[in-house]
Amino acid sequence: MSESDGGEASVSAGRGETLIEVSDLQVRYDGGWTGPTVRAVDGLDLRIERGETLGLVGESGCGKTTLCRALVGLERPASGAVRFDGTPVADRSGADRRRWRGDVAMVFQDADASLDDRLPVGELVREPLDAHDWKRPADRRERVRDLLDAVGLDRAWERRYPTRLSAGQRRRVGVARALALRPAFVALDEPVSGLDASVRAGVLNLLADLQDEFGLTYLLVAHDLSVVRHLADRTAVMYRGTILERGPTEALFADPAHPYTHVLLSAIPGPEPSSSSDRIPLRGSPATPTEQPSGCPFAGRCPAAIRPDAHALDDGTWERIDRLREIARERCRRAPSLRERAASILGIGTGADAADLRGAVLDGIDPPPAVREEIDAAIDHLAAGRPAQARRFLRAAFGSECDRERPADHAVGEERESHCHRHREEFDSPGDVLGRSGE
Amino acid sequence: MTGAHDPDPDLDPNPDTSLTARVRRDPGPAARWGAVMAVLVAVEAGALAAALLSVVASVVAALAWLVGGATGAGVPVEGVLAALDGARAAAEAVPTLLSRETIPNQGHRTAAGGPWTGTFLGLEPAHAWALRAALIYAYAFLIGYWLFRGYLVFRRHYRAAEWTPRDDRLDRFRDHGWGRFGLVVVVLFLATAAFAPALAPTTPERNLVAPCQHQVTYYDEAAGSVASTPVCTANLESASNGAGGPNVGPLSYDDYGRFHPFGTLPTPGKDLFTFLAAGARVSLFVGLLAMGIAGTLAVAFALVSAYYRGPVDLAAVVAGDSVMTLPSLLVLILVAATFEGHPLAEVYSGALVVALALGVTRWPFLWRAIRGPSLGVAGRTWIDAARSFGQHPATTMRRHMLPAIAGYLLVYGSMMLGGVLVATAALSFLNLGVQPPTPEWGRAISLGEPYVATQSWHVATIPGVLITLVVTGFNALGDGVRDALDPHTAAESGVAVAATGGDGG
Ligand code: SF4
Repeated sequence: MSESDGGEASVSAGRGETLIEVSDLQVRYDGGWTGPTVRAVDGLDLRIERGETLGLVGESGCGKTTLCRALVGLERPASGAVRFDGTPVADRSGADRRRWRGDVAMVFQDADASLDDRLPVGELVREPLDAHDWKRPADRRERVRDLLDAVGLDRAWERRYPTRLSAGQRRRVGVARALALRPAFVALDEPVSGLDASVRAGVLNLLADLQDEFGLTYLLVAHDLSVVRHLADRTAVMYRGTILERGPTEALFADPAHPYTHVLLSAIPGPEPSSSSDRIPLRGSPATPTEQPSGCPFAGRCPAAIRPDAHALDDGTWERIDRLREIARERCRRAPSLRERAASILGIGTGADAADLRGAVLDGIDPPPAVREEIDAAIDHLAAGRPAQARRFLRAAFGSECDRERPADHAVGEERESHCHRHREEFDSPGDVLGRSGE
Repeated sequence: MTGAHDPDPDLDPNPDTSLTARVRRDPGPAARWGAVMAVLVAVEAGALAAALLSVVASVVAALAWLVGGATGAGVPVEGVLAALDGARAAAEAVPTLLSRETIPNQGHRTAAGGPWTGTFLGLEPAHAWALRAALIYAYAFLIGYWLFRGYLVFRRHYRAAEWTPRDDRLDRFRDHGWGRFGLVVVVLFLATAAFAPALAPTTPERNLVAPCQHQVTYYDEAAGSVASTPVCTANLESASNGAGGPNVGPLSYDDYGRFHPFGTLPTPGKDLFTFLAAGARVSLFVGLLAMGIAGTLAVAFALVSAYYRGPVDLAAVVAGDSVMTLPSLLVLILVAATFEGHPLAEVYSGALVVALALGVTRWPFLWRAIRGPSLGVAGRTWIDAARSFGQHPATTMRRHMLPAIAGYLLVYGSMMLGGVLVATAALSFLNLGVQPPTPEWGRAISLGEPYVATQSWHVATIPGVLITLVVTGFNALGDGVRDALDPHTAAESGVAVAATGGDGG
């Protein structure tokens, strides 16, 4: 990535220098004594420039909230670093760390749960000032009122309790509290989710105005892509704890590079008839990431996945094979039932299961005998309660680059990167495969 | 943003003003309330001050021992205690409206079947006493109500916020019949403890502690004249000793013209009501001190372990569980036996030791009761928000966690207080713990236990029923507070727990 920021108009002084830099960040949630460790953020690189709004999109559960929390120091990274203004956050301690906490802030997704309903609005907004011994108490009171003014709340509301406010007003209180210490950076986690359209526009405009007024840097998390398109200068697409594509918002929305971005954008009920008519279907749901993928994180669900040259099969057959692989993955993830475990120990397959699987996978297709044999062998492993073996077997038989190698950063335009093998010379581009090039 | 900019008529246009400024602007309601309160306090100032001073003296003695024990040096507090005792005596000397001096019930007939002299307006002692007791209880409820009224005046006229979440809880409690019943019982118990010296038909000093140093004047039917005898002699003659022996039952007079609302105890024949009223003070002292200790420990453990979780929580669980596995009564017996003869056991006739032992052994139960709510509030996003802007953990615990568990503390604390009262009584029943001459309800039960099936049934039955009533009262109060805090538990059956918001991202 180069440092220059294209033709974007400068919003504030110092724009263009890096404020936050995240390198190979890993955040894991311990699953307790029995559960597996969840890799919420898994090897993520990111750079946020001073004064910009970086949009972050992705399905829920992909680690967006965890990333926000890590950026404001609420999560302890398992490895990797977050640098703020050049200094690794982990190196700050004591008074220095406390001071830094005033430089970053977060607006939480759940405005109801992030405001203590036992305290009136004025006290909630004043808390950061108290925590940092900001000037004198009289100045703090004055500042609270200025903040309420700034977020468009009547100053008389400071004696009211959050339960008596509307959802939009609570959101504004959360914003006022986040801005109390004049932070340089604010992580906005779904700032307008759950709000009515009119209220949503008000809050978004407020956020834009505040950014202009105070020169704020935003990380804007939203699953509503129109919000990101409206506010963000650059956008990053997140999947399973890592960034798949990033670039200037307009370019990224107009001409997506990564297959996953294509999928996300195709789901917007856009005004153009072309984009609404052919939504790209996405199989399965993002599983809780408990293991590091050996290849592309999106492999397995990718509609543009590269097929190995060894077999020349039609799409219908590939779809069934993908389904079988999905079943094997699914069975690896969940703990086996007692019956399955006993069957696996005794080395006997449950005949009914094998027949079911065969029916589901092979019904209506007629693969070549060699492929048919591989499928049968995999089903036998599954029915005998050996899903891990079935998985390995299927990967060896039907896997490709997508399963084996982590895609590199491919420059796909000015200031743009995408992590997909299909950007390599030898493959067709994702756009071509998905029938969406030429926009 | 409906109404975000509309001027709101209920809101103070200038929220900056302090409470004093707001009172100054509209002094009427505050002045009216304050005048009544001043009168109420003034008429009983002596009794209230005396009750307060006796509590202060116990606390000073306890602290002195604790500090002395910690530093290894004795803390010379005898002077302070003597001064406190003097102050209490002085306070008791202040004439109060509802005292035995104003409405005396002790007197004697001047002739057989003749009129009474020495009693209030020449009333029969039973009537004079009943009048005084009724007035005292009425006064207690009045002062309680007036304090509540004060809160309402503040809320209506002086509070800056027109609504707080507490208002709803209060309203819910006011509609809770069972909780109100509990409140009434608890107020009765508190009033009995606070006004014990004025409430009883005679004083603990005259009847229980030093009966031989006081005289009783009575009309001697045999001699046909007014005579005088030491109280101890009179007591011996009016004991309740079960089948075949003498007996003075509830609501009856003895041969010395003394009225015994609850009858008398077995030889040496003390007055049961006086004994129980004074015992209420002891019970209250033990209960409050034990729950104070248990509550402080429970809150500290709950907040710290819920905030930090992980190893800290585990350590707290291990510590709490080890204390909980101890057989409680056995430990109490052991402690009571160990401290026999120890200077600490002399404070309040051993009540202090009992309170300390109960507090130290009971906190894990209270902690376990408030652990769930503590963990619940520690998991709320506002705790993360506080952490994100760098609030000190102690401040977060105090401002954001303690208020959320305070209600539960009150609920389980009041319920557990009943258990503490029963344990104290149980120790006394075993002749351990609070020692004579300091009265304790459990000892009354122990004394009367052999006579339960005789004409002297009242000796054990009345204190037993009272303990049950008081314990039930505290439990009912706890129930009411819980339902007020948490209306969902009251209507729990079949109501699905509201789904929490999505955890996207
Ligand atoms: S690398 Fe393969 S699986 Fe991953 S996005 Fe590209 S085509 Fe799809």
